[in-house]
Amino acid sequence: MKNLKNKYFINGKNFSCELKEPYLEDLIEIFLNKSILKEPKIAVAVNNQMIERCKWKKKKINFQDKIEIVAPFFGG
Amino acid sequence: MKSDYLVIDGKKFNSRLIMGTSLYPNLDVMNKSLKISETQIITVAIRRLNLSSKGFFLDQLNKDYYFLPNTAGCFTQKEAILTAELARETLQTNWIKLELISDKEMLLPDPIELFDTCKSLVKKNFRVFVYCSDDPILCKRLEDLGCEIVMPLVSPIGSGLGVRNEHNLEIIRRICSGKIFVDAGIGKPSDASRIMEMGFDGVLLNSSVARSLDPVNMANAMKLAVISGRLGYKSGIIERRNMASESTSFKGKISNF
Repeated sequence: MKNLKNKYFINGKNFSCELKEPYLEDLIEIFLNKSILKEPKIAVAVNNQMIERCKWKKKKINFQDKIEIVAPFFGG
Repeated sequence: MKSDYLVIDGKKFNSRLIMGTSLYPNLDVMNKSLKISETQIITVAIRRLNLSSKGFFLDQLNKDYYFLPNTAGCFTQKEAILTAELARETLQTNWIKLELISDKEMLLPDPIELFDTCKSLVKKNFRVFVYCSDDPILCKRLEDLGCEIVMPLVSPIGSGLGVRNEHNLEIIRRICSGKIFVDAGIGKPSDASRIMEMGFDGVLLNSSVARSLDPVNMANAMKLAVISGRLGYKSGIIERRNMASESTSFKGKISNF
């Protein structure tokens, strides 16, 4: 049987993964390949809306949602 | 000069120089430049997480600073507000350096979009450090909106052209009673000193240090220029006159012959 992965759009690129229950926190951890606890200085927006860190666990993600994961960077 | 603190958002700062963190040749030079400048506030951008980069930006800084996140690269109110919200979430600060530009070539601020965005950000309890054009009325209106610091440019970002419209800056300083910094366009230490002599509260710069041949020494020079200009301003600069005014009295001079 063909294994169908779910498609998301993270930081401007397609990202596929298997998630039975697509919640934001799980998706971020798969994307980062580590626990979110190890990345305390990131912030996330879904479809151009900032999602507070405390809501990641319960935030359900739909296919093709546009997700932005950002962090501080060099800037003037 | 005793207790000439800069107070921002209820916090006292000794330094009146805010430094950017971009464009340095390497991390070591950036860290040394920031250290020697004695800056206490540095600007940072908010960008997509780069999984291939070696280390996390904040972990590569040698010292604790207050962070002033910016909205660099934003063209619209929606982009700027989302960036500000993401900055607040990641850095746990209400401070935001609002940059809202109208084009990629000159990077000039879009005053109309900027004004509306400032209004929204102030309502959302951000402390807005607004990068704007050197229009005195716009600066006054932004101050009246409740911006924490109004920061007019002296010339386009990264141009190094220095002060292009001193008269406007004089008017801005005269009509704005709050904190006014100058942001963008500084080329050399004398530009920074000149601005501080005019009574501005501080200077924000990046390119003039990071792109110089010796950023560490230039950072030191900028620090000294800001201190020098501030000391001059606080000491009461003499009025300009069109005619000479003797410094040595004629009294007691031997007779003319």
